[in-house]
Amino acid sequence: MTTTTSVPSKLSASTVAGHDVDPDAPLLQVEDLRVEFTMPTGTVVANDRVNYQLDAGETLAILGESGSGKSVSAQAVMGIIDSPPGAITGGAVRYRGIDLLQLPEKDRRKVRGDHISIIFQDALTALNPVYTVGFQIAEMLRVHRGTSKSEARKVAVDLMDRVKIPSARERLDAYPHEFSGGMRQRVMIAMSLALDPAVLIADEPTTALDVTVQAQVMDLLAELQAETGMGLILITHDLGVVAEVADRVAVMYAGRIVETGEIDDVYHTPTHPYTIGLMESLPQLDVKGGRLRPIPGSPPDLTRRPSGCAFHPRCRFAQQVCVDKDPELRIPAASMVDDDRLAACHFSEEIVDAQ
Amino acid sequence: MPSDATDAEQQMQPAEQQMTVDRSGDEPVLEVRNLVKHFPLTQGIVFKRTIGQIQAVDDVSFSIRPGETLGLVGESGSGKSTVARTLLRLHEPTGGEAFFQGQDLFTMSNKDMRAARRDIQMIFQDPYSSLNPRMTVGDIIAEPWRIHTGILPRNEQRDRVAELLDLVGLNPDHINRFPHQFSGGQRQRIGVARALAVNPSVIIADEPVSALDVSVQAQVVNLLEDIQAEFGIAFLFIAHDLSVVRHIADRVAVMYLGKIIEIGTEEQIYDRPTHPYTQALLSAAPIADPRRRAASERILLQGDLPSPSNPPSGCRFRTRCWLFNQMKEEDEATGGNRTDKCINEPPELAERDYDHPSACHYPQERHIIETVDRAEVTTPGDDLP
Amino acid sequence: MFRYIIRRILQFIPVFFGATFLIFAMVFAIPGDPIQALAGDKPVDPTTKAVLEDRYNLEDPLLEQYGKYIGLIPQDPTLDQEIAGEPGDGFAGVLQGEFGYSLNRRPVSDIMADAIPKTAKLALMAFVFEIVLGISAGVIAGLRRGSFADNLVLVSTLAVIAIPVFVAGYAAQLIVGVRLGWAPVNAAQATFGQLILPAMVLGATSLAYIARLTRTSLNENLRADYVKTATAKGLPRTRVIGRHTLRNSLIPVITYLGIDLGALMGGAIITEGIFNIPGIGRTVFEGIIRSDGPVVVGVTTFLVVIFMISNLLVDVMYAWLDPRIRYE
Ligand SMILES: Nc1ncnc2c1ncn2[C@@H]1O[C@H](COP(=O)(O)OP(=O)(O)O)[C@@H](O)[C@H]1O
Ligand SMILES: Nc1ncnc2c1ncn2[C@@H]1O[C@H](COP(=O)(O)OP(=O)(O)O)[C@@H](O)[C@H]1O
Ligand code: SF4
Ligand code: SF4
Ligand SMILES: [Mg+2]
Ligand SMILES: [Mg+2]
Repeated sequence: MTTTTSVPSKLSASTVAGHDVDPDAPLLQVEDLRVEFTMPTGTVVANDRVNYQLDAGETLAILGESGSGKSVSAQAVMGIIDSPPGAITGGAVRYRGIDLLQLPEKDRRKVRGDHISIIFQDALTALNPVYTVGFQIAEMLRVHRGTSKSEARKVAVDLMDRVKIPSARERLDAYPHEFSGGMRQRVMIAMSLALDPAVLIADEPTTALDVTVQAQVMDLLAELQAETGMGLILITHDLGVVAEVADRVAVMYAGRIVETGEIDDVYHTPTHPYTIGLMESLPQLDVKGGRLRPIPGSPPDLTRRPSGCAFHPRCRFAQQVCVDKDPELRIPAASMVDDDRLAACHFSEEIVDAQ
Repeated sequence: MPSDATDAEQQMQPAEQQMTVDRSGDEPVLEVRNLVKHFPLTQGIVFKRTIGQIQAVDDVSFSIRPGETLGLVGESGSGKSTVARTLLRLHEPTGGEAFFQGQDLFTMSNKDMRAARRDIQMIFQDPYSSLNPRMTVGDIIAEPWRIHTGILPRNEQRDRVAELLDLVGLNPDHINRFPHQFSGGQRQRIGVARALAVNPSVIIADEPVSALDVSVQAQVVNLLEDIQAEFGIAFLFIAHDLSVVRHIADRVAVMYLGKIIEIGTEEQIYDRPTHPYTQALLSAAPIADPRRRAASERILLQGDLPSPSNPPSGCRFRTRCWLFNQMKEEDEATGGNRTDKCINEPPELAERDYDHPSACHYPQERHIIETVDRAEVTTPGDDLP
Repeated sequence: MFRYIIRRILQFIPVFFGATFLIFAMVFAIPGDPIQALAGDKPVDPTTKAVLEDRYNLEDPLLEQYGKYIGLIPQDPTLDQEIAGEPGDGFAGVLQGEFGYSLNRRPVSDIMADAIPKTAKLALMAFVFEIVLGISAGVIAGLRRGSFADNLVLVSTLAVIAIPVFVAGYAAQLIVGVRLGWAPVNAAQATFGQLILPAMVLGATSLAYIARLTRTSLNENLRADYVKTATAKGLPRTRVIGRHTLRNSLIPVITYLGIDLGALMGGAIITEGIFNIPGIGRTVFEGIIRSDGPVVVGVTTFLVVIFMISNLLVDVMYAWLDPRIRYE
């Protein structure tokens, strides 16, 4: 999937919102991101030392169970964290070398939607119920580009055609509730692609859809990515979807990334017990018989994060050191694992050897 | 790896026979015949007029034997929950019969129905909304004993609740806690304990694990398997997740727009599906291993589920059927008219050229997934070197 | 949309007849003899009594009285007309714009024509006052949750809601009118200047509710997914709030306003009493004291119509603001 030759038009510009880009920098780089929510019951560290990188044309999956901080990390990149109670308390989000967290709000706003776009899980609530879909798509062009009303409507029809909404022209003035779930998600996609962004974040885009419709939407996303060469961050809890579309995967647990690497490698030779646990507990379509092996217990409440390695109460490999010391995200020194891999476990090497 | 089809079949044959031998003597514990449930579609505020019927369930038949799990799969809106709710008479059926231990649930007296409700328990998708937030877990689990008096004397109830909590993997000391003090998976365990309290012979589970995360989902799936093995309960397991159903079900029924379009053993449905919809459904479901990424080309269905108030004529699946489109294209070249039958004649759910029923005029077996045995999926052991 | 309005109007018909009949039945079932009440302590001459009873159809069955009153059944000739050999007035009821005569023989429509404009003026002023200030206060509080302004709005609106209208009214009259001399104490002519203070008193409670409702609704909507989407689209904050939050937030406020418009007209009794405004509130009040059925029924029938019209306006606004309900 990285074999695409097209490059997003955005990448030819040498400035972003008036700031010079670093031509050698990766498309998007998240460094040691920390996001906290101040709640009456205590502080929730929803993202802790989150690191990842995304290149043009690449699909990075962020995989994790609910509450692990996937959406928060996406919202931090977009700059749309609910604040208060949330706040980004550390780290950097570099888009082509420019740290978005340091930009003044008016420049930051110009990056949103134009350079980096997002689509959400539930398009019914993510689209404004009181405006037509045409209005909501055209609004992107009207506000960012100052396009005239009639021109913006024309572009909106083109976009709706592009995401394969049948009879786009007639449906331009329909309201979101008049579309089916799958079509609404297409409207969301059309809207997010209106300005040809270089990065698209899809936060559980198909979780609310049936498999047959999910397959349609995932196909569409892959096709659009191949056309535009944008980088895609796909947030999901579905290991199947990840295996089918991602180039690389970052596994999140309790606000941290616990393992990242190339998709085939991570699925072949997982080096973190949580990744292993996810795979063992998953019933698979092409696997018959046997018994699932669940991870005991349930994900921690982030106001009471376990000491040391947050996974230790559920980990079958845990030792005393896991209770005392939080493992760093590091390259496991095992021969079967290449240096594109990172894992946050004290015993990654031993786990690889045991396989 | 038994990738060779004949190899796989040989492996399967004995298992299948064994199953039929095992259970052929058993009368079905639940037998549903021609179940129909239509909801009136009304318009108007002052004067309500019925302008149509939502054909939520239309002529559905199946049976479940003691200790067996029948999986019911299909897209949302295909009528799965309506089947479940109608069986428990939470909706009055429009037509059909449902024999439970030889008696028709739909014609029995209220008194008998109350007894039947005890024997047929239900587990819901959202454990939270089905548990009364103001009752303690102990009271929730003991509630069936208050409704169906005479099962268990009052002074024994507390001990039995503790036993049940232990059985479903909850701490018996938590008997006085409230539902909101438990996580999603634990709440689902409470739901299971409540269902088990009255020793049911059938459990209808409507998407019991759909709201749970994978790691917790596996715990509940294992729990359901365990209680089935221990108590020989028959399950009607409803889910939209084909993988979970494959894992837990002995037999599987696939629903589309109110009808069962294919039914068979787990092997028949997953390894040798004959209905174009089953095939498309299987091909759309992602496989969680990049090594085993669908080798065959994916069958993409067009569009969404049509409205159940105005289903297509003839075969209800024809508006999205890839085989229909393919035949139409071929026939245009050759002057054939095979698709006329799809448009005009509703296909019966019947065995045609294959060993299990399928509601398609032109069934053909198609191999969609390469099944592997779980034993071949390696994972590291418990001990590190 | 057009069909929706037509449908709503058709629904009014049973509501109108139901409500007015109920009022009619209740008023004419008031214990006591209205004619005796009119005469006070003096004994009533039986002939006069007969004339009056005839005039008001008091001897007919209730349903027939109502039919004649509302204008669905033709009026019988009065005694005078009968003597003069003239026919009755035919259909002459509310539907024809005839509200009958008060017990002291004044046409109820005249009485209403005197009183309604004064109350309408008062209610409208109160309405504008509560909308402008209530929504503004609610928006400020809702946007800056937890700020000083927010707390100020919360505390002050709570105080306003807690204080009964007559207490607030007399206090305002005493302080602003008498002590400070900033506003006239008596509003008998109901001029704009005279009505400012009464309008504020009348609108205060609703203002407080509107402010709170706007605040809550805005708060809720600010957390809505589509507001997040609007921000993520890179829209300026003014647009995110103005276009994507306010409109949705005002939907419950509009509903409240519609109910309130009618309530303001009817609820003016206390305010009109305090400030001595000869509006419909006082007219009804006096009508009840005197058991003057025709006046009470006439005014309340008018209020029913006002309620229905404001409800229709709300529904139309509602459908315009929220396209989802147009299809229900
Ligand atoms: N708006 C918010 N207010 C308070 N806490 C929040 C908010 N959003 C997220 N959180 C906290 O952050 C954690 C991670 O949330 P999220 O990123 O949404 O998880 P997911 O991985 O399911 O997308 C949650 O468990 C919650 O405690
Ligand atoms: N109480 C009801 N009244 C009207 N229509 C209903 C009702 N319950 C379900 N339906 C309709 O019946 C169809 C099948 O619904 P359901 O059984 O819930 O499907 P599933 O469980 O497979 O998602 C849907 O079109 C749904 O809208
Ligand atoms: S650090 Fe220890 S507890 Fe954490 S995942 Fe590794 S082995 Fe398990
Ligand atoms: S009967 Fe025709 S339309 Fe229906 S599934 Fe078979 S081929 Fe497709
Ligand atoms: Mg999320
Ligand atoms: Mg359902």
